Order: sequence, then C-alpha cells, then structure tokens
Amino acid sequence: MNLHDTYHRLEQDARDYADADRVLRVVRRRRAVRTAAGAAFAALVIAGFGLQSLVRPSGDTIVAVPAMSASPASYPALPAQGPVGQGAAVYTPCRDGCPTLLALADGRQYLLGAHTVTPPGNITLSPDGRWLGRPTENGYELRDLLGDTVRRVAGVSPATGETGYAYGPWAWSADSRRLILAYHLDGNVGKYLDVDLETGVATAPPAPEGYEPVGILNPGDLVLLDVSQYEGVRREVKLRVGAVEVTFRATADGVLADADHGLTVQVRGDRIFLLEYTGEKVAVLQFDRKGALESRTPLADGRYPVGPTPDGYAVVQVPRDQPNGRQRLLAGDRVLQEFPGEAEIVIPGGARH
Amino acid sequence: MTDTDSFREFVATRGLALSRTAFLLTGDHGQAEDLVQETLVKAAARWRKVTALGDPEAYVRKIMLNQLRTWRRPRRLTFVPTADLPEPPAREDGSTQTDLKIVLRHALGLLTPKQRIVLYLRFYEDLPEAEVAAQLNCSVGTVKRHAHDGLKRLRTVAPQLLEKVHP
Repeated sequence: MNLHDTYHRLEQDARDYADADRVLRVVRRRRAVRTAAGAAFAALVIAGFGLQSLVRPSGDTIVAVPAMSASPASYPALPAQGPVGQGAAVYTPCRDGCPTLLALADGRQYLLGAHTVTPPGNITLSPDGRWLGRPTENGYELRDLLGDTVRRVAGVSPATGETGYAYGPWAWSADSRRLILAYHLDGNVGKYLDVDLETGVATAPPAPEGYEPVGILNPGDLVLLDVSQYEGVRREVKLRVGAVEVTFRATADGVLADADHGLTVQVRGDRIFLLEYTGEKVAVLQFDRKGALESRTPLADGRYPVGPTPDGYAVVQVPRDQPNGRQRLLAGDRVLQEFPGEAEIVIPGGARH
Repeated sequence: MTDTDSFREFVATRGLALSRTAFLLTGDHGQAEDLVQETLVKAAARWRKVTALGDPEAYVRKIMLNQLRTWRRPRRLTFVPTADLPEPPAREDGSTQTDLKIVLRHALGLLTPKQRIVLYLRFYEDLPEAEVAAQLNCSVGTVKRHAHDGLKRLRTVAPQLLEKVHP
C-alpha cells in the first residue's frame, strides 16, 4: 500500500456533491444581486429583554474535556432558556457525524445539536464566555448564557427582502459588548452588521465599499481592511484604524500573505495581530494601534494559530495520532484546555477575525 | 438542447467524478461540497464558452484547481441552515475505512492547497512533473518544490503513507 493506492481507496468515500438545480439557483441569484446593486441593506429584527452584568474573563480556567462519545444521547441538551453558566468552548469531537457541544467553564457540557453547522465560522462565544451565537433558520441568535436575554438577528436579502439568509460571526470587541456579523449569501460575504449586545441595536458599520471590518479596538474604533489586499504576496498591509491609515509590516524575510497562506488579521483590546509566514514557519506578530511591532512569536512545529485570549495568543497543538490523541489549546506553554484529537473548536472570542 | 439542459446533463454524468476529485483535493466532505458547488457555479455562468472549447470536463477541472488555489475559504462560509444539516453516514464499500485512508484524509488537511493539488496530480493521476506544471501554468521547479514540501510534511504526520514514494 502506498500513496497512490491510498488515494484510490479514499476516493471511494467521496459522495456526489454535484447538484445542478442548486447551482443554477445560485447563478440566478447572483445575477439578481448584481443587477440590484445599490439596493439598501434591509433591516433586521432584534428581540431581547433583560440584561445581566458582564463577567470578567477568567484567566485561570482550565477545562479538560473528558473522554468523548460521538453519541448525542451522552450529553444533556442545552436548556431552552435561563442561565446555564459561562461558556469555555464550543466544539465537535470529530469532523463528520459527531454532535456539537458547549463546554462550560465549570466542566459541564451541553449538546447544541446532533448535526449542526461546523462550529468554526458559524458558532461563536463572546470573549467573556457570556454570549453564545448560533445561526438559525431565519438568521442568527445570540443567547446570554448567564441570564435570560436572547438577541435575534433576522436574515433578510438586500436584493429581494426574502428571509432565510445566513450570518457568520466576524469580530468581537474585547469587552464582549459588540459583535460584527457578516451577512453571507451563498457563501459570498456581502454586508456586515454591528450588534450592540447591551442595547440590542444593530447597525451597519461605516465600512466603505471594498472594505471589511476585521476588528474592534478599545474603546470601540473599527479596524477596516481593504479586501484587495487579500490578493498576491504581501509584505505589508494597510489597515484603517479609526480614521487613520496604518501600515503593518512583516519582519526580515517573512510575508503576511502569499499564494499558500491567507492574510490573517485579529484584534483584541488595544492590540492587532497578524500572522507572518517564512517558508512553512509561522509567527504571530503583535502590533500596537499605530503599527509598532511589540512582539514576534514563532510557532513551534505542530502548533497552529487560533487567536488572542486574555491569557495570551492561543495556539492548538495537534497530536500525531489524531483519532486517539488529544489536542491541547495553549497560550505560551500553558495548557488552557484539552480537546479530542480531531475536534473542531471555537474558543471564547472565536470568530472570522 | 438548451444550455441549461446541457449543463444538467453534464452534472448528471460527470458530477460524481468531479466530486471525487474535490474530495481528494480537500479530504473533507464539507469543503469538497463547497468546492464542487463553487466550481459548477462558475462553470454554469459561462457554460456556452465552456462547451465551445470541446472538453467541458477538462475546463471544469481547471476551474476547480484554480478555485482551490485561490480560495479564501473563511470568506466563503458555508450557508447551511441548522435544520438542513443531517450529514448522511459515509457509504460503506464492503471493506470498512482503513487506517491509511483515515490518515490520508486528515493529512490532507495539514497541507497547503498547492501541495494537495500537486500530490493529487502526481500520485493519483500519475501525471509527470512536466504535465503537472503545464496544468498549473507554473515551472517544473515549482512543481518539484510543492511535491517536496508536501511529501516532507506527510512524512512528519503520516510516514506510513509514503512507502515506495519518491518526489
């Protein structure tokens, strides 16, 4: 048995993903959206009541996830309402066929669904673990895990007013009071919403055409990226920080993006983080808001970047034997949490950026 | 036959083959589905041009490879309402998944898109380096580099896959 043979055996596991009707619907919809350019981004509905005080991030919490079962029946369902406790992570123990679980800071776990969307990119926890965000059939829902509040954002097509479109979590403010949601139509991100979780008010962030919000700096300044910078090899990236354009540069021979590595920008509190690539080596660059480099942290082999946390920049260490091993979430050399080897994980503050 | 009919017929006859390619390029059912979908959307939008060239499958496969090379997948979030998500169990083929299949599937997730494409073309399609270079519109040296880097990474994470394989 070698690589050639294994490829041919693996192809037998492929399914038929091609759906002509779905493809043609998408083509028609995209054409309709293009012709409706300039249409106002439709409104949304935010419903909510009651507020709880924010909890502070717990830098000391370590949640070791116990031995996993792929059976949804092994876990209690998340209660439909009321406080349940501070969230520590959302994860699914494996890519296919495993339930999606909410792990709390006290070690309890709840079932979010037997077959949900993949948590990364779709489900989110606020940096303080208070808010759980999930896509719903009609938009997006943000639930206060420490109280009774539920914020619901209805997905509305900007072209037709039709509901049923999806949002993805894009960027959190460090104080967990604001979340940028990205509206995506058939996988293509179109518009953004800035949700104030304190008041329940959602507004379109002031991002000019061609710019994407990539973070919220203290005390609330939006960080914007000209998305044309996703293309090509980048040794430097310009971000609009508040009203100022700031340049962030790679060090030495590193690049911030090339054909094999996408541009990654993350914001937490007063800091802006970019990943730097030198060959196959990855380093985390930490800048202040004026573009001054504060630290460069190379990642050891086998460690992959996750994002900034109150404990430092988190990475995940994937075991060589993924089916039987454990993934470790680390900040520096400190273990923050452990997960099954094949888990797909969202940590507090986890979003697109 | 209208363009729409022609496209439907193409998907009906070649959809599974394209799906297999996408699965081997990604190692992930969700990503493969997204890749097939996006590829076919692009092909359908210019179907008349695709068919005019005489070999629609080759053209569509080229779209797929380019799509994978330039994919910023995090910006293309999967739009799937929670209620519609039940993932069917993998089709049983009589011999349950071997360890090597599982290892390869997960190892693919650790490679860059270009490494996955080059290894797929070299070791699944058995294309010589010069032909891989021609398909990817790059130099043979670039193909060698991606193959070398991909195999090096596979040796680290899944050495059992590389018996008898030389870059």
